Amino acid sequence: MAGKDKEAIVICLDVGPMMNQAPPGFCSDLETACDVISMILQRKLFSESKDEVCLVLFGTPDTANKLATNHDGYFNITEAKPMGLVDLDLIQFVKTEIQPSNISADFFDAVTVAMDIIHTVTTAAGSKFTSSRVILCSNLGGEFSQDKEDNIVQAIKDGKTEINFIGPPLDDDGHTDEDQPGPSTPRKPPKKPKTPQQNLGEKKIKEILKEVEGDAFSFGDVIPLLSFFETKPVRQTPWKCNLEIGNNLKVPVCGYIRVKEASAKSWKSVYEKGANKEYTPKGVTSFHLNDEEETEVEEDDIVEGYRYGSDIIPISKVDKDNMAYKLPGKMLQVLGFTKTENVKRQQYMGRSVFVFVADPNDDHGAVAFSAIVNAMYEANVVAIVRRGATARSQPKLGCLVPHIKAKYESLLFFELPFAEDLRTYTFASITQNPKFQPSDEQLKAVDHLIDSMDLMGEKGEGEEDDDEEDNELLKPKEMLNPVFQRLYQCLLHRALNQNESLPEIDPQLRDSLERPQAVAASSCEAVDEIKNLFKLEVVKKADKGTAEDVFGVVNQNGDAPAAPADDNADVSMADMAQGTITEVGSVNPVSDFQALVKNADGPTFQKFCKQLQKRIEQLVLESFGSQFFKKAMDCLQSLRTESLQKKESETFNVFLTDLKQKLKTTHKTAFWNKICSDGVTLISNTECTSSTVSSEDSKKFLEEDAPPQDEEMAEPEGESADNLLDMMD
Amino acid sequence: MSNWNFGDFGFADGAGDEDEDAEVGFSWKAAGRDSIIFLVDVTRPMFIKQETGESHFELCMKCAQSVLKNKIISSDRDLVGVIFFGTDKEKNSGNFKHIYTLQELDQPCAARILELESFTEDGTADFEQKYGHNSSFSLSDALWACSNMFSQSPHNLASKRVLLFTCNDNPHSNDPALQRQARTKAKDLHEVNIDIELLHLTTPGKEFNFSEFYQDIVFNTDEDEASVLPDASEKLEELMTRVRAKDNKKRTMGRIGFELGEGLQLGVAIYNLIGEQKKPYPTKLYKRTNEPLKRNRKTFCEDTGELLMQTDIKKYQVYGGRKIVFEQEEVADIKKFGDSGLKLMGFKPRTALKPYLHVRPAQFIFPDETSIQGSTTLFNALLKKCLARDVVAICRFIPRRNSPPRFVALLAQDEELDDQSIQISPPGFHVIFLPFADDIRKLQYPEAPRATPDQIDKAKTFIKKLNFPFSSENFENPVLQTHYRTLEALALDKDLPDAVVDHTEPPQIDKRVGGPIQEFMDMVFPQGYVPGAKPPPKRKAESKAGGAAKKPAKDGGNVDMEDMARQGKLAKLTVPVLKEFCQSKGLSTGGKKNDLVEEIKSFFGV
Repeated sequence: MAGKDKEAIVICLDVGPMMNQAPPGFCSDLETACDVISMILQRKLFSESKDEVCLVLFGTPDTANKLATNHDGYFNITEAKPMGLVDLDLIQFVKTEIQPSNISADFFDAVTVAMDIIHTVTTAAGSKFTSSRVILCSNLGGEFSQDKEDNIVQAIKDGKTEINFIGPPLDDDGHTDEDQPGPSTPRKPPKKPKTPQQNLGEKKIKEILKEVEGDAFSFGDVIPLLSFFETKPVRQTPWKCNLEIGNNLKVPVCGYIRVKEASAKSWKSVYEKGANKEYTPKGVTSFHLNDEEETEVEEDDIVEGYRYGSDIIPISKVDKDNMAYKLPGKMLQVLGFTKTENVKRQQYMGRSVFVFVADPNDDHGAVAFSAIVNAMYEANVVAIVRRGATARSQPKLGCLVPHIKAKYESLLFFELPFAEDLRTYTFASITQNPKFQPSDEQLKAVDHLIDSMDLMGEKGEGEEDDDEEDNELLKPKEMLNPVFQRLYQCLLHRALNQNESLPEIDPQLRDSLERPQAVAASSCEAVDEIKNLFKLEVVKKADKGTAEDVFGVVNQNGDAPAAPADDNADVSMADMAQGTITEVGSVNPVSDFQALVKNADGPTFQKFCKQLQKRIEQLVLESFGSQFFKKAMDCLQSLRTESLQKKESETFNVFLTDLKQKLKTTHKTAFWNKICSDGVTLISNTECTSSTVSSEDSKKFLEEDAPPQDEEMAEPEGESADNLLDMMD
Repeated sequence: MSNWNFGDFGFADGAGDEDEDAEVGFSWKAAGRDSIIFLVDVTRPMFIKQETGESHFELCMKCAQSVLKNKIISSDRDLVGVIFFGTDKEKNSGNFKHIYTLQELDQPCAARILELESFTEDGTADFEQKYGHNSSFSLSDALWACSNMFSQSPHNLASKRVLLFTCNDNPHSNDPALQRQARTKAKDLHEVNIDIELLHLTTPGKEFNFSEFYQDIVFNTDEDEASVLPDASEKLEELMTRVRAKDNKKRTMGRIGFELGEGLQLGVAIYNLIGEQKKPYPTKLYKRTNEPLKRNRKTFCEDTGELLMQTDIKKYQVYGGRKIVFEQEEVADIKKFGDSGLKLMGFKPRTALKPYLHVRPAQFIFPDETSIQGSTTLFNALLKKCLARDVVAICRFIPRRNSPPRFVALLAQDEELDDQSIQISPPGFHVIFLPFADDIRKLQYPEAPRATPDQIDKAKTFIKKLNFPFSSENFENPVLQTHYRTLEALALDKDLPDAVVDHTEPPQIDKRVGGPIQEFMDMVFPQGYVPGAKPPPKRKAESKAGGAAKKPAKDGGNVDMEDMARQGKLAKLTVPVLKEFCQSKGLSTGGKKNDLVEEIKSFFGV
């Protein structure tokens, strides 16, 4: 679509009674039609299209059209908005001001009115229109007379006017070539039987569309329909250069951008000071010394420097000019040819695809180009080239891939990476490692998934890869960037409703980002099969430290306590990186615990206590000699202090009693002795009122098995060793 | 080095039991820096000039320089230190005799390289006076000094290597006690993961006997090769090779869920296997002192002179003549479509992935066990089946929370190993970004003449001869390489930077296939053909030579100018055609197309 094209479009909208019928809770056809029309207009508006649009309503109580004034008939047809550029008012009108009526009008008449309007504007002096289009929006509920049919068809053919019909899906009665484009989300109410009048109308419309090669869309197919209508037109500007093979063979070529990410119109800044006072802000960048006054430095006193290790090396302009790479200028030079498979799809660099064709002004060059393209194609090679886009741009490495179609022969150009751009990371050999091998059954389930999620649809009658005639879903050519759709939605909403916040994302737009419903439905079984056959367990992210998250982690690790040194190494690594503590680790259990219980109480507190208790047991049991006793004791004392503070004496007392039992049955009596010597005992009711232990009992608790004095004396030596180990820890 | 998006870096990759994988899977923060100490024997034998005209010691210094220079470009956060043993003087933290720390373990910088250079350039005459020689050192002390140097580094070290340079295969040959100490010390170092690599320097006619002593110092992890002397010359060569390329540490761009269906999700991590390596961005310096400057960006209101805060500024676009204004947060919100993740839409045959469907460089996904256990097996099954059935998975992809969605095709890749079992291509899916309809330009292609089979065959003759096995690895970016060399030359005070071999220069094509190319040109081009020039006026003679189908509309010679002028169709001709006609009739060729049309019209009196 070149920039100079300009289309005259007449939208004929049926507002008759049939359009306004819908079961409660569903959109009427009229509402849907208004949505579709406003989306079409919206795209015209936001793509800043030069096309002009005229809106004709038929079925209106009044009559306002030129034909009605000149001829008899053409009643109840209103030229609601004259031919003009799309503006916000027109969209607002469609969105808010169209009223259903209870009078039906003849759609043939409406199209005739439309053709008349088109005829008038396109033949007017100085008309810049290059094409014309009529969009008929109706569910064909009204009566029509066929006497004008031939005239209309002839007029459409003569004026080369395109005609589009938007209405309920047309039934396929033998006309296989009128497949609806792509089954999309059925947001429509359950299909209601068509009236005889509608069937009649449909038959007629199909005849006409066939006759004039028009297209039909159903209301449900808005998104693919829109892509048909408008994308932001970009002028086709050639990049001209000679394709050089060696010093002598030079073939003039034209390169066009084939694919490139479209960008939205850029945002401008405004400073609104009070009502109606708007200013344009201006950014100023300045450079300052790192001294107290932050002295500003003038442009002339600044030199650019590059880091070289810990130094920054200044490079003056002169040095830069003298020593920089000498740019080879604008060119497209072949370095050699290589087998197509040597250039991998995933190596394409850059953010655009160019297509090169022969320069149309040079027939000899075009013959040479054609010969080279075909030769490359037949030899199954691609050309490796270097390209300088302009005299001042850095040369890029790229490849030219022959691309031959019935209508044209071309070379596609992709940028390729330099050696420095490659990152040769090594990954685990998961396909070889027996641990990760799926069973035959599992593979079969994946096979089912692939079968059930085929997006190609049924093949169109043995056609080869003719792009247009198949039922492929999610074709890039039919998918609109949702960001633009969303932006337009917001822009329009803000323009029409100044003070409201942003609207919700349009449901149709949301749907277009979801799995196509047919695919979702057919894959259900295979998905369930996979769910049953593969064991997938979500590892709770240790990021927020909520009780729930921690609980998840505890459960996961509960079955397999590992050595304290490397237990949960990953979790603690992550913790260190993130600076948040989510559970009592093995490295600094005391500080972890203290941090965790700071704001915890009740069940949460007990959970953390359990974690610390587990650590204490681990430390004691796995201690070599008295190696970890000091650490375990610190934990135990911290547990006691916190339990006392939180008045959770019960938890602690139960644990200590339990620990005493365990220590006696294992060979870790030495730690019990340490507990006694340090006097860490049960929490008594004198300390905490909720305790059921008397202070006497708590004393007895230790004394019962107090170690002989001499054994206690042996302790200090070990303890100093502990300290040492602890410091190294 | 930028340190963005390290937020959620956890642990290693999926297959945690692969050591290698676990190691490289860390972010650099967790992994720390690589460190190397050059431990150089400076006893007198090292200073004997060899046949090459250079002493072993000089070779060592060159080697160290080369490593420093490479490090500065590849990863300038890595640490390098240099220790001499066998000096007369001493300088080290442990006060060991005859051990001299030339350079502490630190980041490479120009001054250090220059210091090393002084040994090779200014000769070693004053070595005696500055450091002296003394062979009564203890190798054990030398190793200990290395160990101290590593442990005193304030940085987190990922790897610790000692490169030991010597030409003496049996130090302390008269002192078994010292030998024993050295062996014990080496073992200690090994236990704290310090690798010792021996770079033995041989003198012609004198074997270096590895088994004599050093096999107990160098711990070879590979048991079978324990007694085999590793080839030092190869290692030396490797160290001496100048490689100027940034070393990108393996790190993920994010970990996301990959939803195959309702309630069925696996974890994947995203990587970039290619990415444009740009020239480093310059820093602004104060000319007089070369100190770095702080950048300050302020926004003013030009009319009132007020200093504005970011929050004062709103954004707008103009459509249909109206200014539509948004808050800045709203502008960001418009792009938000929900949480990150890959969502499977369905499958298409690989052939549906047309070559021109490309909008940005691909990414790569690999299973991530840290988010969902069991992901690898399912991923593997998917990979195998996609490969076997030659299909691509079409997905919706939101790389980060609130970044706009795109559709992608997942292209399966099987693991590929070379003869030495080194991975050439990893197993996983390439994420190919697909364009939207908005991104695909609708182009009109002009009709063009086609070549004949003969001409095509002729073209094939030279195309086939110009075949080469392409690999990006063989093409360094000349702009980047020139920049590195320029920087190096300026930093190290060189008059001229090292020469760059520009691999993007077209090779000598004419030498190889000049003949066939000429034959081809004779076949398709008329004599005196100038590419891109206007079609020559005489056509009949050439059409035999060219054999091309001609397009009359574009062909000035075949067009009846007068007829066209009378029908008012001159504007349909191209400017070159019109110009040429004007030239042939001696009319003015100046001005725009309209002027030419008018000129011709008046010529025919239309």
